[in-house]
Order: sequence, then structure tokens, then C-alpha cells
Amino acid sequence: MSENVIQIENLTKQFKTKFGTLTAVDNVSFNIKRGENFGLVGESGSGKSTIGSMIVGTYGPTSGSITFQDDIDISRSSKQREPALKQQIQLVFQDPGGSLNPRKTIRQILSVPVELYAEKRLTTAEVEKRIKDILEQVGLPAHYLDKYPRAIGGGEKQLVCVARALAANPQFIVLDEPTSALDVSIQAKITNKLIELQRQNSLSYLFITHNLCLVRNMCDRLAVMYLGSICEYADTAEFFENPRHPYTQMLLASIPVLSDVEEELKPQKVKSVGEIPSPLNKPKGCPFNPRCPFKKDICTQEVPQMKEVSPGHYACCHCL
Amino acid sequence: MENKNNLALNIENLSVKYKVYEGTLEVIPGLSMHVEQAERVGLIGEAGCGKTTVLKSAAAVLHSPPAIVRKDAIEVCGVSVDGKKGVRSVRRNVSMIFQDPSSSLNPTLKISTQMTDILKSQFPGRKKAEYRQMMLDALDNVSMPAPERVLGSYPVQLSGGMRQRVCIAMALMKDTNLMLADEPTTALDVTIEEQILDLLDKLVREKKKSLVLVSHALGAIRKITDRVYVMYAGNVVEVGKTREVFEHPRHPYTIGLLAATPKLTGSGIADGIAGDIPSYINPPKGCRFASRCPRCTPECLEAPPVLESVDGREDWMVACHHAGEEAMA
Repeated sequence: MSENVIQIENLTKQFKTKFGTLTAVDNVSFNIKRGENFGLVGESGSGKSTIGSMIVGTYGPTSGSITFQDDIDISRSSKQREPALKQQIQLVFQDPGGSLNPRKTIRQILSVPVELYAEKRLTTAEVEKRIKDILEQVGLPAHYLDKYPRAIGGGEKQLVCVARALAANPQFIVLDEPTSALDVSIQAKITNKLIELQRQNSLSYLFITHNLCLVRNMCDRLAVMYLGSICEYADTAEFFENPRHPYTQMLLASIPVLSDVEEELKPQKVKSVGEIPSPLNKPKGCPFNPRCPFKKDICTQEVPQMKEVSPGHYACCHCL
Repeated sequence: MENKNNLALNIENLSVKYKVYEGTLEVIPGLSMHVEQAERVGLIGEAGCGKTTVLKSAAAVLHSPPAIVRKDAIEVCGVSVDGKKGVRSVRRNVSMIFQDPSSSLNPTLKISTQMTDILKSQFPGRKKAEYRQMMLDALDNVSMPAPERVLGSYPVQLSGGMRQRVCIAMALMKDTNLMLADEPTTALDVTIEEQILDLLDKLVREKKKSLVLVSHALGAIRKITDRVYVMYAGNVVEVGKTREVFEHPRHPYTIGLLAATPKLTGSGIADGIAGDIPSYINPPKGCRFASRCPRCTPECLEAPPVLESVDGREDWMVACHHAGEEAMA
């Protein structure tokens, strides 16, 4: 069995806009191991969702490669991929209300992937049984099958979206901000369910979010993105104990927390200043240099290279 | 409450219903809250619990109909908000910051035009140059980079953080006592959120203003408020000093909410609170939290609990039939 589910190398995605070329993802490399929950964190416009979209094949990259299970090249849009591959990689969106068809019942919504990805033609009874199994797995009662999405709560809608992704029997799921549209009390339930499902079905996740606290409690490893590039990537525990990049320190320091115990865990020395520049007009050199408190001359000249600061902990900064 | 005239905001027994197609939504059954001078008060609760409705009633901007408002009193700085005179007093004494800075600014007017409008109503008959200087000072106050450029821009030309700074600057230009902020940082990124919260905190302290901060982000509330009201389904379920409530929450909803928030310590996530907010059409007769509550007993289904003080303390109140009992594991 292969070790990596997804391997990304020198991935770049550019969009042509009216105002010039927008580099949404700039020379990004990382890998996601089998059975791992990998967190991708960043503020808005940092390119994290673009990476997710390229993995599921909404569009192909401008350059660089994405490899699935060590030997299958998936660096192109899903239209040009093998049909069997589409089943393996599924996606859950941020807004559960907008990603379910309001005119279809939950049964109709779930039966599509079940029938589409079945190995042979299924009878109605078989489809029904499979749908009920999946619904039970995500923890929804069977009588929900005849409801329309509008009749159930936001958290339950998101569970239906997760069920729809599971119905394809995938290896790998991209979760694009799955809980940020939900209330805290419901978010907890969904994340715990996601962790449970991952164990049961030996899935791998790419968990895209802007909530660092959530990543702390959920992911095995994470990468932090800023303006299209990864600035730090490490094991979760190591990352939160010992953040090395000035941006990640600033990010951690600005989380509003709930207790003094957490307050002490935050890096103290870096204060948040400045704004995120437009990705259309990136600063020269290190993308973070206009906001960085440790800026040197070289930072405005050269783009820093990724360095291994301790085993498995990579950061991208001239000061390290 | 010693002297009611000293309160920046006093709401007594407010009830709000909305008439909609499906029936009548009994959103707020009876809510009282007060804000003292130079006090910073937080209002937390999840989506649909009536936070914004309370804020809008206080600012006298709640549209009626569809809202049906009954109350014993809503007073801003000792003046009731009823009638034309009351509304005028509210306009003088209250400034408001909204959640979405892009929709609270007029997209077709330059920032300078929008700011001048406020100044003209507040300080009529001054010279153009004077207004301009006042605007620059106001923008400087909120640490705006390049204020000259901002004045000549349209809202779309500014970033989200800058737009929210403009909104805060506009709210501060009016020399009001009470500032109402409705989720001012929800639309912003976390590093920008910190800057805006720090700014609000600094300005409110410096100018000795009273602040009501409405948010579902618990961290933001803890950071800049002295006292907090926790709302659930239109009711205040717990009131107290922010730090104390966050450290030892007493109401089962507050306990569940705090436990469900992911922590930096990486201690895992509690299972959250099962279920959903009850429907506001024919809401439950007893406690509105009963259907989701781990401590629910038959008593809870019968009568709604009232706010009672905890350990005989005036400044900490909980609305729960089982408030005295220790938190269950």
C-alpha cells in the first residue's frame, strides 16, 4: 500500500483577470499521508480553496503536479480524469444550504452517487439499503430521507453533504470550511462525527479552514498559507508549541481565546499590523515582508526557500 | 441598579414578536438589560437567538410591522426612545457599527461625501476645509493608513478591514455616549480582527463611552467586555462579569457553548449541544432550552425559569431551575 494519498509538487495556479494575472497558488509542495487529517490554514485570499479545487479537479493547475496514491497523475481537470478516479476523491463544501438541491429530497440526493458509483446495476431495494446505511453512519434518522433540505437544520444539512460524499465510497475527502457557516455547538458535533467517520472508513482528509483552534484539535499535520505560498508546515503539536515563521506567530497571537491558560500558549512578542495585500499586486521578495517585524534587506529582494527547521517541521523565512 | 438616570441603556421587559406568513414568531418573550456609563457589555448567543433584535430595538431602528414591540421601558441615557422626541434623542446618543462593512456604506458615494453628511448634521454651517480636517482627524483616530487617499475613494476600492475602520471612524465622529456594535469583526480575518478589537477597546476606554458588543465569537467578547449577557432563544440565560462567567459558567447552555468551542490547548472537542433552537412559532411553555438540556426535569417543561442571583450575588444571575447544582460531567 502506498504511503501518500496526495503528493503536491511545485503547484502553481494563475488566473487571468481584467486587472492582470492573479497568482492564487504559487509554487506549493506538500504531501498528505494515508489515513491522515491534513489541515490547510490561511486567511481569505491565501489560495487554500484553490488547492482544494485543483485536487478534486474543478480546474487543472497552471504548472506543477498532483499525484494520487504515489503513481496516478491527477494534475488536470476532472473532465480529463479516469471516471474511476472521481469516485476516490470527494468534496464537502462550506455552505450546506447552497450545495444541496432544494427541489430534491434527501433520498434523491443520496441515491445519485450510490447508483453512479456502484460496480453493477443496483436494484431499488439495494440502493435503499445502502442509503439507509450511510445515513445511519452519519447519525441521521431514516425518516429524514423523505425530507427536503429546507426542512432540516444547518448542521443536519452538512451531515447530508458528508453522507453524499461518503456514498461514493471515497479514499480521500476535501473538506472546504465544513463548519464555518455553523454555530459553535453544532460545529463540535460535526467535527467529532468527521473524526469518527475517518477512523471507521480509513479515510484521508484535507481540512481547509481559517480556524486554528479547530485544526489544533482535529488535524495530524498542517500547513499555513499566506498569499498563495506555504509559510510553515509541521506536525500539529510541534507547530503550536514552536511556531517559527513570523506570520504564523502573528496568526497565533491574534486568536481571541477563552481562558488565561490558552492566553499563555500564544506567542507574545508579535503584534498584528498591516493588511493582507491584494494577490494581484504581491510584494517583491517574501510575500509577508511589508507586515513582518523582523524584516531585513534580503526579504524585499529574494523569495525565501523552504527550510527544515527541525525534523518534519518546515518554514519559509530568511531569518531562520 | 442604583440610579436609573445614570444608565447609558436601560431595557425593561422587552417583548418582540414578528408577524410572518407562517404565524407569529414570539422571538423575545421578556428581556431586561442595562448598560452603565463607560461600561462595556457583551451580548453572546448563536444565530437566531435575538441578539440583533435587541440591539435594533435599543437603537429604535426595528421595523414595525412586521415586528410587534411591547416593553415597560427602553431608555437611552435616561430618555425613552418612544415618539419623535425619543427617536431624535436616540439619534443623538447612539452610534452603531454593523457586521458587514461593505453593505453599511453607500457604494455610489465617496467616503468623504458620506462622512461629510454626518458632520453636517452634527456640526452644521462650518467651512469645507474644517470638515475635511475633522474627517482626517477621525480617520487618524482609527489608525487608518493614507487617510487622504481613503477620503477620495469609493467603498469598493478599500479592503474589508479599512471599510470597517471607516465605519468605526464614522460612528466615533458623532459625539455619542453609547456605541452599539453588531458583530463588527465577523466578516474579517483573524489578524485584522485583532487590530479592530484593539482599536475599539482603546477608543471606548479613552473616550469613556459605553459599548454593547454583540457577537457569537466568544473570544472577542472576552477580550474587550466587562460584563456579558448570554442569550438563548430570545431569553437572557446568564449575566455576569465576563471573566467569571467564562471561567465558571453556571447555566447548562453557557457550559455547553464554552465546552464546544475548540481550544488552543488541544484538549479535544466536547460533543456540543444536541438538537436545535426551538421554533419561535408556539415556543415551548417552560424553559426554552429544555429540549437540549442535560439537566432537564418535569419542572423545566412546566414553567420558564427566571433570572436569579448566584450565591447571593447581585452581579451574577442565572435563569435555570437547577442553577445551584454543579455541572454534570
